[in-house]
Amino acid sequence: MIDEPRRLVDRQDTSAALHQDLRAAILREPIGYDVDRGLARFEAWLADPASSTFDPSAATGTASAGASGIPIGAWVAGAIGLTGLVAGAVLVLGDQAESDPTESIGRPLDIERPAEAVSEPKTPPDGAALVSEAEPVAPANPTARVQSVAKPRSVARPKTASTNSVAPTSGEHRLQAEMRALAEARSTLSKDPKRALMLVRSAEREFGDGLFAEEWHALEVLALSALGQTREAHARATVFLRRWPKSAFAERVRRVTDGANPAER
Amino acid sequence: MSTSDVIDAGELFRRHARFVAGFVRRMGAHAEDVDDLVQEVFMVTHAKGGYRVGPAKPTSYLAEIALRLLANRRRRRARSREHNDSLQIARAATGSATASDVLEARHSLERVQSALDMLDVDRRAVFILFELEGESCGSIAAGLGIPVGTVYSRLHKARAEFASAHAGLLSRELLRPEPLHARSAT
Repeated sequence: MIDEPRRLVDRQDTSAALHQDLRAAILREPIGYDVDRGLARFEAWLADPASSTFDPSAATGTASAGASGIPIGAWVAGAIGLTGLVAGAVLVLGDQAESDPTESIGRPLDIERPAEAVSEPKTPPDGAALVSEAEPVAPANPTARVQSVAKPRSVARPKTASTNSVAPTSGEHRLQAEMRALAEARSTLSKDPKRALMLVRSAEREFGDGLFAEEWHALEVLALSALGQTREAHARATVFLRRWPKSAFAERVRRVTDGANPAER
Repeated sequence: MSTSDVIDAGELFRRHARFVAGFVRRMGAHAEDVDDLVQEVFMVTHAKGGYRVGPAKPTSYLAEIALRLLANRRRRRARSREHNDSLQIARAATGSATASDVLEARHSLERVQSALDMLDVDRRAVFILFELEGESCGSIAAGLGIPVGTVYSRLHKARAEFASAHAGLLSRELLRPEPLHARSAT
């Protein structure tokens, strides 16, 4: 067991000037952020991701354009993105996925974070007293979860049916594009796993090890398995389980390595 | 896993939006981007089903998402933050106290941010989370999905680079004539 290093600000050998500056940085926020206004904006989006009337600037009083120059409202133009993703991933990847996707809309994805870091610990920067770390606290009211995600609806969105490219369309936010692509891939899986797999491959090229890498890799395993490419499915499943052993998808993926076809469940 | 093991994005927002805003700012996000970045972090968190209680604290978990979003943003526009922007960090943070306290705090924050800006992104993230946010190395490792040994290694290097950069900034300030308004403020 390696002791947790001590912070510079707690060490005696830290210079006075450095100590003073670090202390100032710890005590003072680097930017003023209005949580209430930000939360209002977020909750408005949660309540109706597809709302075309939602004006972020009205909710926050801040500029509505992001770095990309795309208003945050543009996110909601493709409601299929997040809403479909949530519904779809629960449907296709979730262990309790059943036949009616709309029943699962309000349920966030059941996703586990990657396993805690393993492997050989190197020497800590200094060997000092162990710093106790508070465990994450469960919400006081865990049932008070947001249940207001809109049902999937038919929304105009970039057509990709004729192509397997998942690249962002003109003016589309990259993250939005990834969410849309993932939703599309998942909806395609059951009826056309070959196309789903092509979308996965395209996403791999387009987004690399993106924000939804875990979801993409799980989808890849399931698509390969559905196509009967057992050997590759097993290989990918093994890689997946090594990387995300505690994933919510792990059990589903593990069935592939156990020889069962999860798409048949 | 029971629902009590999951914290939804809305609750996370209430608890940690301020942390996310500060973290992305320290990581070099433009001031005008912070609000959107905070929104995006929690949108992704929501899409992923919220935070699941585990070895990573919620803040480490959110930091990892923020880092990926920042990386995406950097790829989109590879322009660096102007010095003026860095100064705004300090201005935004000053609270009460005397004019000289405010000025001193502002200089402290400027030096810290300038030194942070000189660090490699990966090391900067670990430095911020450990030294400024008080995260444990284990939590950082779990949140970022890297071995704890890598956290130690990055922290070790980040400290050396930060201290060196900080010392350089101090020595340059000592060589610089004190501005008139600073003297009049004391």
